[in-house]
Order: sequence, then structure tokens, then C-alpha cells
Amino acid sequence: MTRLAIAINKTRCIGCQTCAFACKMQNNVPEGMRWNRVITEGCDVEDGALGTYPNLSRSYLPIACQHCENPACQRVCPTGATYKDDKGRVEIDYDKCIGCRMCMAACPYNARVFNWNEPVRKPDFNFGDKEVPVRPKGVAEKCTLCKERTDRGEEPMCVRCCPTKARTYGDLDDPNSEISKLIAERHAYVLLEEQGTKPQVHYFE
Amino acid sequence: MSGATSPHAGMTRRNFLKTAGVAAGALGLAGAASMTTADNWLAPAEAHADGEERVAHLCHQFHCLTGCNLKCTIRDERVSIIEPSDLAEESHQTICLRGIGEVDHIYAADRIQTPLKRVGERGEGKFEAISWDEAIQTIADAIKSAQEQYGEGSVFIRKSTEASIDFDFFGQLMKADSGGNWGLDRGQPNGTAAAFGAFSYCPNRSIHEFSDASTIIELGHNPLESGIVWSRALMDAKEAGVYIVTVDPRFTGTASKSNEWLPVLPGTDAALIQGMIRAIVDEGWYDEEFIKSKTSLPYLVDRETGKTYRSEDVMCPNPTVVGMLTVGAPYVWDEAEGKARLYNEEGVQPALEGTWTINGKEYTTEWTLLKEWISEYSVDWAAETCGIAKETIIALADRYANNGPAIIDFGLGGPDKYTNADVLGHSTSILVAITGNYGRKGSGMGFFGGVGVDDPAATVNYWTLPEGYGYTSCGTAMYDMPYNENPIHVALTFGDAFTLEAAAANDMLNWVKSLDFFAIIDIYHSSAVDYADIVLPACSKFESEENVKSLRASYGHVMLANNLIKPLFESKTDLQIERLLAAQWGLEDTLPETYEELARFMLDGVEELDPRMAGITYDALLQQGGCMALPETGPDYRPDGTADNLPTPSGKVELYYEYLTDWGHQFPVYTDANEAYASNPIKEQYPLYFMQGKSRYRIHAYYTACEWFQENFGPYVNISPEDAEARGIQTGDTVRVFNDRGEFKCGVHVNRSLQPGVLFMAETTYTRYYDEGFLQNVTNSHREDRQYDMYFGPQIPYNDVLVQIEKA
Ligand code: SF4
Ligand code: SF4
Repeated sequence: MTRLAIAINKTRCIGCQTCAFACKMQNNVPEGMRWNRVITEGCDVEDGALGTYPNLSRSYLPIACQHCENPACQRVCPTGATYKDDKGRVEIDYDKCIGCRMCMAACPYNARVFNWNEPVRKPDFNFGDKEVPVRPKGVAEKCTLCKERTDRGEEPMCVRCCPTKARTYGDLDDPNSEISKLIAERHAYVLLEEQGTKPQVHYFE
Repeated sequence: MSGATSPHAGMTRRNFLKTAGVAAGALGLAGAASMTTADNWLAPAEAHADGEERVAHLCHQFHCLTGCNLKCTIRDERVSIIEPSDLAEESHQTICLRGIGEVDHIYAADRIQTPLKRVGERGEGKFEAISWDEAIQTIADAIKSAQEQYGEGSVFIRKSTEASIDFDFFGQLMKADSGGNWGLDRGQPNGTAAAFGAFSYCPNRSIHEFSDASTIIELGHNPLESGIVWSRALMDAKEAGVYIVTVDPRFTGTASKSNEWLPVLPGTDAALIQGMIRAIVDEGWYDEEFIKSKTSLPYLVDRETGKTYRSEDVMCPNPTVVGMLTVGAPYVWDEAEGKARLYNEEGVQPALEGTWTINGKEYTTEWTLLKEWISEYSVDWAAETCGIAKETIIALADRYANNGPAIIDFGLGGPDKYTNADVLGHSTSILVAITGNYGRKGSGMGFFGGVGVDDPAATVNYWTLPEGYGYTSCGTAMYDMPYNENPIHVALTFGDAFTLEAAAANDMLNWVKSLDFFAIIDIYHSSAVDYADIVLPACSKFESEENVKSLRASYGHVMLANNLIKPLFESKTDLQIERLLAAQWGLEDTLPETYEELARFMLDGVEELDPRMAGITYDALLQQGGCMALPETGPDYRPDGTADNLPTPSGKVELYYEYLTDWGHQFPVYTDANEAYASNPIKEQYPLYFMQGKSRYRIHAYYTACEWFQENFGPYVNISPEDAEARGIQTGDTVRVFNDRGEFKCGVHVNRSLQPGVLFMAETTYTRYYDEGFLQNVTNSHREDRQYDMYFGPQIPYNDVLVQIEKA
């Protein structure tokens, strides 16, 4: 089996947002939406801090679809539009999506965005990878693990562009992959483990 | 894994949701009511998958000091994907958000589309479209009439930091005034120039040696947001266990990645460094061997006059860096022979301390004088002045001196932008030299990341104009033109010089308004555009009339932009604009006709000048897609910079600044900043320090126009919760920031990263995105007289500012 995933080294992550924009560009993501966000943990402003001056701390957390083994979104999708594919990615069949947004309510990671209106793009043409389907009004969308790129054997655009090499892409089912080794050696963890969603995206310090 | 101890224990579903929106904070953006809107200028591309694609490559930015080669996928003649170049050497296949954001930025609504003529008042921003012919004619007429009426020196032409600066022909053809001293980024270099050489702020060892250091001090430097790609070296060091200390009033990204954050009071960094020097001298933690063999500290100085004892016959190997005078070789006291001998004589054993009478004059060593100088600064004084505890200063001194090798990486923003930055640079030079943290693996000093020897440099030819053409100077720097009498009547700038390269914008813009004529060439509707009489639309670096564009030597590669899109709207390349202007004087043939001609010229015959350039020809470059690495480029490139034969008069680190005797600054006398100091009485009215610095979303004001970035970021001032609460200010409010020089209104973020008493704002954003005014309205235009005698002249003290803030 194949379980494609990303592991993020939070020590190396500098919160630069490059991955967030790389994703927006590659996937032709419309105005006001992001499939991948980099948040300053626990803060209501970007580059904020926790603690009291001068004992402060800050950490950045890039979040997108966690490509869960047990996806909460898939369980609630009434049409089967959301599915787990043969490479272990969680994908959406846009033709089957009826826009009920059950998946959005179910996802504990707030990974999904919705086309409430006719999508507006700036610049006003379809940028990004030409293989990426253009989503219409009324469907949910989210990180596909760069399905089009990974199908071609390339790494996801966020991984390719990360300036500090904080991101590692690979197959969790291959014990010799760099990602599997990193997860073991660096004691990687997943977000909201208690939700039982079994994310494939891992984080480590 | 137990939830309670996991590093993300604070993450709840609510947290995710709270920060879910794209715009995590208030943007407070005024709608960009642009007459040049690009909305719907392109019909949406239809069938996504059928579009015809080709690939272009180019060197991106150089003001981030990286210059990545970027691969652009062009579909239906639109730049659709920008990603790291696979033509670059593997470790140089990089990009940051600013490269990616170009996909929107190229097509942004703020693009100037046609030549414009002002129809409203200056500053009002009312224009009408005119033809290129009319625009060029109007500019030429204005220049010619000023030249006839007032002479050549009445014309001011400058390329700012944001225009394409591949070349600079037209201003020279006009023998225009280019505004002299820039006054930017050379505050600390004013203080390091005489010690280690004029350009010693450019490190002589690679940033990739960060991992070989034991300790790195980030002195007011925040590479995580400025030179983004370079922070990979810092993160490598962090993972290798190097101890990182960040000195910054603000809890920056770099501070957050450090083992220790020292929040100095703004403008007091020199006190911290002097406290460290004191501790090192007191404790004997200095490196005597290095001091004797590599520095000027054993040189003899006449106690009475303060002059160095020099030979009248034997000259120093290098002309002096600062005065350009040839000076005699200095004497030391040779312990072996018990007499004064030239410092570089065979077998000389210099004494470090003592007093000797020679020919009736009393001499001592620089080292003795240094000890006397530092005895006036106690660590307690340093602690009180900079706000860092005495024990912390001593511990840092211990770590730096005794747990080397250590690197001091100083920023050219932050502490550089106070009037006492020269004192800081000189103090840092002393700290580095007495501990021997220079010229060996894992040590060094300077601004790391792009300006040093991180990558091998290429050799190219530079296009020259015929004899007799060149810039002139009236002796007044641009930043002083509002204050000093000057002959300028007409100005032409490529990009925004007036609001970016001067403080106290009300003064500068009033002066601009008083000119007979001002024209600007810009890609975007930048802050200065509204003041122009004529505006010419330049195209972005992704556009060219021909297949190729700029040839750049950057990041260990030679890069030729090629396969680009055609200029959008009615814009033109800088080269064609310069040629159109030059043609008004019949001088266009002094310029290359095309970028191809220029690029071919730049590479013609370079192989003979530099064998490393073998094979890097115009044709080979094009054939390979436009990017070729130099032979040494790679992850292991580590130049072996030493502390020998430095570009100082004697070739040693020269720490005693005899040339500043009139100012009493032979050693760096601690001086308060001009405005930003604790006991300044105007604090009663303006109690808050106002700092500016880099944001990941900008290179200066560039990328203001990027709509993607506008979703995350806009002009807002950051304030500590304490200061905000005292004023009833909350995130999302509009605030007014003011002092006697002016005011502006914008959004606000209440942010714990701020030291109480300090405001921070990222420089900078086109004025139209503010609610009113912009940050440069409050900044300080003071010049420090002492610095007129220094290598880089007085610098603009952008951070040396006090203000008050209130809810608007
Ligand atoms: S690109 Fe890399 S360093 Fe930047 S925010 Fe994303 S994961 Fe972090
Ligand atoms: S702005 Fe970013 S992508 Fe562009 S050259 Fe600099 S580091 Fe590279």
C-alpha cells in the first residue's frame, strides 16, 4: 500500500508563508481562500507571541488537510464525493459534491473552504497547474496533496518551495523513506490525536 | 503521546477556528481607487488544460540579497506558475513567497498602464492618459529648459532601490545630479570601516559556516523576514546545536528561534557591546596572541597629541581607508630589543602595555588607551543603559569570548538606523578583535546573507558611455535637499526615491512640490507617483520587448532572463525608456540597442579575463535555458577569509581611530541616539519609540500591490498590550500616530512581541493603503555631524523616533 504524506519540522519552520502561497498558486485557489495556512499558534495576530514580556515564545504551525487515515470528512459525506484514494490521499470528486458542507463541519482541522459564490481569481485567469480542475460555485475544496504533481511523481509544491526545507514528503508505508525515518527518529506527532482521525501529516520539533 | 505534555497541547479546535480566516488580523485597507485599475483587463482564460505552455527563466530580486533563478510557466502568454529553477545548482534551487506572489503582482491593479499627465494638484493623484510621444517630449522639454536656464546641475536623476537597476545611463548622459550619499544601511559600517576595511560589513566567510560556530549573536538582524532564503543557514545552525542569541527590542521571528533573546532598549545596542568589552577586559578573557599579531593595539601613540608614532620614510602598505592619505608605518615597542621598531619588522615582539619616552615624547600603546577608555564604562552602567541585566551581559561576554568560535551577524536595519550606529559599529569591531573571533572557521562579523562571500562571483563586462558623461553632485545629498540650498529644479526618478530614501516625508514632499518639474518611471502606482507631473509605465522584470532581458551575476550563477512575456498594457522596458529619452538629445546610440546586445557585450571575452567563466557564453546560456553555475558553486563552497592583509593602512585590524581625534572618538565614546533615548525630555509628549523594519510581504514598498499579500497584510502598527490598554486601543482599531514632524493613520495590532514603550511597523506600503498619511511622516531627518567625516557619511536615522499614539 501507499500512504503519501508530509512531515513538517517545526524547529525549521520560520512562518514565512511561502508554502501557503505556493499552494494557492499551484492550485488556482480563488480570492479569500487558502488550502494551506500558516498560523502563529495561539495568537490573534500574525507574528504574535505567548507569555508576558520578556518571557515570550512563538511557534508557527502550517495547517492544511491532514490526509487522515480515518477522515472525519469522509465519514459524513453523503454522496461519496470525499474519498480516500489508492495512494492514501483524501480527495474530492467535485462532480459528486452537492455543497452540503457536512465535511467542513466535521473536519477538526478546519482544512476545507467552500465556494459560496462564483469564484473570483486575482489575477483574473486560471493560474497554476493546468491539470488542476477548476472548481465551480457550490463545492468544497482543500489540499489534495498536490494530486496532479504527486501523480506525476513530483513532490507537492509547498515542499518544493519551502525555503528552509522544513517539509518532507514521502510514503509512510515505505519504512525506508526519508519521511518514515524522520517520524521515527524525531518522535513526530499528529494534531488532535484524541479525535481519532489518524492524520498522515506529521509534525516534529 | 500524552496530550498534556505534547507540544501542541494548547491546540484546540477553537484555536484552529479562531485563526481560520485568511486575514488573521484587520487589514484596514482603503480601497485602491486606482485610475489604472486592471480589473477585467484580461478575459478569463477558458479551457484550462488546453492552454499552450512554455517556460521562462530569470533572476528574481536582488534587494533580498538572494537573486534566485526562477522558473516561470507561461500559459496563453500569462505567467501562471513561478517555482524554483531546476537549472540552478541543487542547493540554490530556492524561492520565497515574494517570488511566488509575482503571479498576482505582475497583473496587479496598481500597475501603471499608460503614460500619464498630472491634471490635479501635486499630491492629489489626478492624471489623464497621454501618448508616449507627448510624455517623452514633455520630460525632454523640462530638462532642456532647466539646463538652459540654470545649467546642467539643475537636473536631478536617480534610480531608486526598486526600479530595475541593471544600468544607469540616462542620468549620466544628462550629467545630472544623482543625489550623492544614499544615507542607507551604512550606520554600523561607518564604525567598522576603519577597523576591518571599508566593506568589512560584507563578511569574508560564508554564511554556511554558521553551523561551525559555537555561538551566533544576531545583533538587530531578522533574516527570517528580510533575507528569508538565507535563514536556511541559521536553521541549519540551530539544528546543529549552535547557541543563538538575538539582540532586538522586538521579539522577532529570529528572536523566537534563538536560545536567548535580549530585548535592549531601542538605540542602546552599543552600551551592551561596551559592557561586554568591559567584562572581557576585566576578566582577562581577551585573546592576547590575536591582539598582538592581528590588530593595531600594540602601536605606539603620543600621549599628548593622540597621534600614532609613524615612520616618515616607510609608508603603510595600503592607503588609509578613511582619509585617502598615505600614512607612515606605525611603530611598536619591541620587547626583544627594548626599543621602538616598525610594526612589521622581522622578528619584532611588540609590547602590549607600557609607557616609554622616545625623543622626549611620552608614548603608550593603543591597548593601554583602550583600557583607559573602557574603564569609564562599567557593566552596571551598560546594564542600566541598555536594559539588560549585568549578569546576562557578563554571561554573554563569557560565552562570546570563551566559547568560540563565535559570529556577530548584524542587521542593516534595526540598530543601524539611529544616529549612534557608528559607535555601535566601532564597539563591535573592538569586541570582535580583542577576542580573535575573526578570520577563522565559524567566526566573523558583518551582515551575513548575500553581501559577503556566500557564493562565488562572476566576471562580466560593464557597458561604458563615451568619455565625458557621468553623474555630477552639487554636494548636497538628496535627503538634505529640503533643508540645504541646492540648484535642483527638475527631477526624474526611476522608481520611488523620494518617499523611500528620506525620512520626515512632509519636508521631502514639500520640496518635491516646489520643483519646476518632476517625472517618475515606475511599474506601480507607488507613493511618489501622486507628486509627479508625468508618469511613465515601466514593465516588470517578467516582461520584455525581445526574447531576452537582464543578464545578472547572482547567487553563484550567471542568469539571462529569457522567453519572457511581452510588456503589459503600454509599458516598456527600462532600456527602451532610456533610449527614448536619450534620443531626444540624439544620444541613443551610446546605449545598447537591445538587451541582447547588452548581454552579449557583458559576456564577450570574459573567459580571457577569468578562466572560471570558460563556457559561459551568451549562446551557451540561452541554449541551457538561461542559468549557468560558476565552477565552485555548491553546498560546500567555503572561502577562507582571514584576518591578514586587511584593507586597512597597516593591513591589521585598526581599532584606534586617529582620524576622529577632533571628535574625541578615537575609541567609541558612548553617545545617546538623537531622539530615541530614555531621558529625552520630549518623552513627556511623545513617550513611545517608533521602529520600522522588514516584513516578509515587502522588499521596501515593493509588493504592496500584490493582492495575495493584501489578504494577509497591510499597513498596521504593532503595540504592546500594556501600551494599548493604557490608551483603550484594540486590534482592528484605526490609530493616529504623531509627533511634531507629522502624523499618519492606519490599523493596529496589539502584539505581545513588542517591548512595552516601543511601537513597530513594517516598512513600507504605498500611501493610498493608509487611512491617512504614511509612516515616513513622523521619522527623523537629523544628521550626525561626526559622520560627515566617516566613510559612508551621515545615515538616515529612521528608527531614532519618538511618537504618541491614540485611537483615531
Ligand atoms: S514554507 Fe516552510 S518555513 Fe515557510 S511557513 Fe511553510 S513550512 Fe514554514
Ligand atoms: S524575493 Fe524571494 S524568490 Fe525572489 S530572489 Fe529573493 S529570496 Fe528568491
